[in-house]
Amino acid sequence: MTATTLFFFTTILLVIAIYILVSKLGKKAKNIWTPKRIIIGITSYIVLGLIAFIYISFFSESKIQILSPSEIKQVEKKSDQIQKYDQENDSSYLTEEYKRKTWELRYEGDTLPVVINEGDSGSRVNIRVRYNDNMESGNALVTYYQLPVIIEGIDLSNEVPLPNIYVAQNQLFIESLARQQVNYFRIKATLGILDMNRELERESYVMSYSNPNVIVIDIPRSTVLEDSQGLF
Amino acid sequence: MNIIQCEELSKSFGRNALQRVTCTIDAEKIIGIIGRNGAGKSTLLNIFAGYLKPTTGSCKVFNENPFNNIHTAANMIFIDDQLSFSDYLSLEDILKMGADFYPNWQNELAYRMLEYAGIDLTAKHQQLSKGQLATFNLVYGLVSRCALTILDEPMNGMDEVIRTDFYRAILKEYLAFPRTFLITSHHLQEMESILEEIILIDEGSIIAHAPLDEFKEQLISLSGPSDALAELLSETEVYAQKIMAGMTSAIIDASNLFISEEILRAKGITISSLTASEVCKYLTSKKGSDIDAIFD
Amino acid sequence: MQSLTNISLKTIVKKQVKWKAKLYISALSSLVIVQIIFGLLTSSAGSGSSGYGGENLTVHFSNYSLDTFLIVTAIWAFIVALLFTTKAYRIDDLSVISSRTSSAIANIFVMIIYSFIAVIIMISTYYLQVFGILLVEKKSFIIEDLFISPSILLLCFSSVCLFGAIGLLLGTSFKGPVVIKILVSTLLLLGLILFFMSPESINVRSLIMLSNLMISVLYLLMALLCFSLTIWIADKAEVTRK
Repeated sequence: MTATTLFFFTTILLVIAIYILVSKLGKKAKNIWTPKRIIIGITSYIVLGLIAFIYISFFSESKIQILSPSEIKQVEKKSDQIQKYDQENDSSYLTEEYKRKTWELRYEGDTLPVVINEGDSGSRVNIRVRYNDNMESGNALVTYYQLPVIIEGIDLSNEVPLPNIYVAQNQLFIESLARQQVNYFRIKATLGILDMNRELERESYVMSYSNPNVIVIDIPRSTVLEDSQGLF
Repeated sequence: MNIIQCEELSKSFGRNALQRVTCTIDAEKIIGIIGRNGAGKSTLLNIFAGYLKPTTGSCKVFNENPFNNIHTAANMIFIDDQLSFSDYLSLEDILKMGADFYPNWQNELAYRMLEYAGIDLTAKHQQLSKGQLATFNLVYGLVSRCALTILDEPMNGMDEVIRTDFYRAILKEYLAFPRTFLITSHHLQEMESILEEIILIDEGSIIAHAPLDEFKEQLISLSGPSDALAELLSETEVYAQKIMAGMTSAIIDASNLFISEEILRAKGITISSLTASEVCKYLTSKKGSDIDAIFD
Repeated sequence: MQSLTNISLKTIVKKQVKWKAKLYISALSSLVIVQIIFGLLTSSAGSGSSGYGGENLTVHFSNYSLDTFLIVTAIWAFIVALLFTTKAYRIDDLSVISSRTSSAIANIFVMIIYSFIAVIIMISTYYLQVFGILLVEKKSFIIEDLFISPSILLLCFSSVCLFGAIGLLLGTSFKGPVVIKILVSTLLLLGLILFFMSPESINVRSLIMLSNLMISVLYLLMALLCFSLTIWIADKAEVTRK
């Protein structure tokens, strides 16, 4: 409440200050600005606004899609299903749709220590191991899957930074990159205060899975992954 | 017929500005409202104009209560030195605005009068000098041809030449379109020639209301040997007196004089009449007080 | 004796509105300037922002909506309405055929007309701001709603009108009879105390939950009440040039 009051007062003072300033300057400019010219000025301003509106509505296409409530519901349904699979430790839900990147890595021997560096991102890395009989020894296939992350009606899964996965000193390193910041400009020709307080579903909608990103490591049966950090 | 009727009109702003004023003002006359500063003239005029409300008593203008009355406002104009207009308007625009509002507006006449006075119509009202302002305001008031035209010290700031011209202008306009003029001024001697009636106000009351001639005859001046006058003066109220080298001159009420002129002349006493402004002065000054006394 | 002029209140009010709407135009030009300034001030951050942090992602939204402009316009309407009742404007009214009532009614009509134009100016400023953003930011913008719905427009108009009405009422009360001055000052003081001491008692939540149309109607009714009170008080007000 105090923040809003402060905001109001600062706005009121600012408006009054600007108004006084304008009137003082206006007094001197009374000769140049006759009522007729002022009317023309105001009309031109309104016409400019109209032109801006027409331009925006015809020529500006936002590349970012906002999901409609029905689409979000669909994603929600999928999420329920996925959660079920997740709990059963069934990776079949990790389809091509969600695959983001695959790394083919080589290593020596049958033991592969895994070092996970989560950095300061605070997020947990979710790792599954699949033993693939068709793979040759010394090969590992690491795939990163990203499930939809919907924030305020937009699917931002593409913006989540990929981890850095590589083999060095015969160890598999999985490093989470530092936090990525994305900025968006949302244009909403309505009164934000109303919508915020009415809590329209889409507004504060943040949906993410408990494990939105999964790393699957496909290794041959002969290899043993060493997990010294006890993370998976 | 009466245009204004007041009945026991009082107005107080903390102090008593008007006290139980009763008067009637006839239509189509030029009336001078005279009084000292602070006597209550402007208050009375503001009540007539409908700007102020009487505290007690009643006032009727055009047979209606003038306060906040659009019908009164349509037939009345109040001109004083505070007359103001938006600073977006040039004088010409102001005249256009006047023409839009007042049905009897004489635009051509206004142009001619302002041209005569040498006032540039493209100027703004705020840019005029004091004298030009007074001239313009007066023209605005005359040209609106309202049935009740109130001019509160209209000649304030005008130079003598233009004042004389505009007294004539008022008279000529009055003859062309008869209406009621209520004029206040501190220059009664100049104005006398156009006035028909005088209302004298002092300390919130009307102490005289009469046609000009009657008004002038209210007081007379007697001068003669002091001893001859002494007896006479003791019987009547003396408004002012001056004694110098055995000769006294005194102002007394004419109605209290019962002795004929010949007898007075025989005693060596001369009677002289006073001008209207002198009558005003003596009627409103405190009896016996004299500016010289302060400096003695 | 010359016959007296008989002009109706309606004619005088019409004439006064015509002249006032033209002569008070500097109010609208100052609105344009104030809006441009606020448009520039809020062009980087928008009228609000929201953020989300989680996983490896921090998302920051700058929302560009009508809020700031509406608040600015409403405050402008209040200030301008107050100014309309100040001495300079009042004594200008005495130079033509007018009564306190006709001037009050004329001011009300001018306020309504200006509120309407103010909302249009507000919308123009908004679209100009959006246009500016889109010129600069070619990629990361999201267009959620580009068309302002009529109910929002009506709500904006009624808000601006209401603030103008309150300004007129307040200004007129302070020029009215002494009794009213005291009454209004007391009410104002009580209202301010209430506002600061217990903001929870003012039930804004329930107001916002109503539909846009209902809120607009409510605001317009309140504005109408203020206007009526303004006329009633003006009817009793005295005026002097000095």
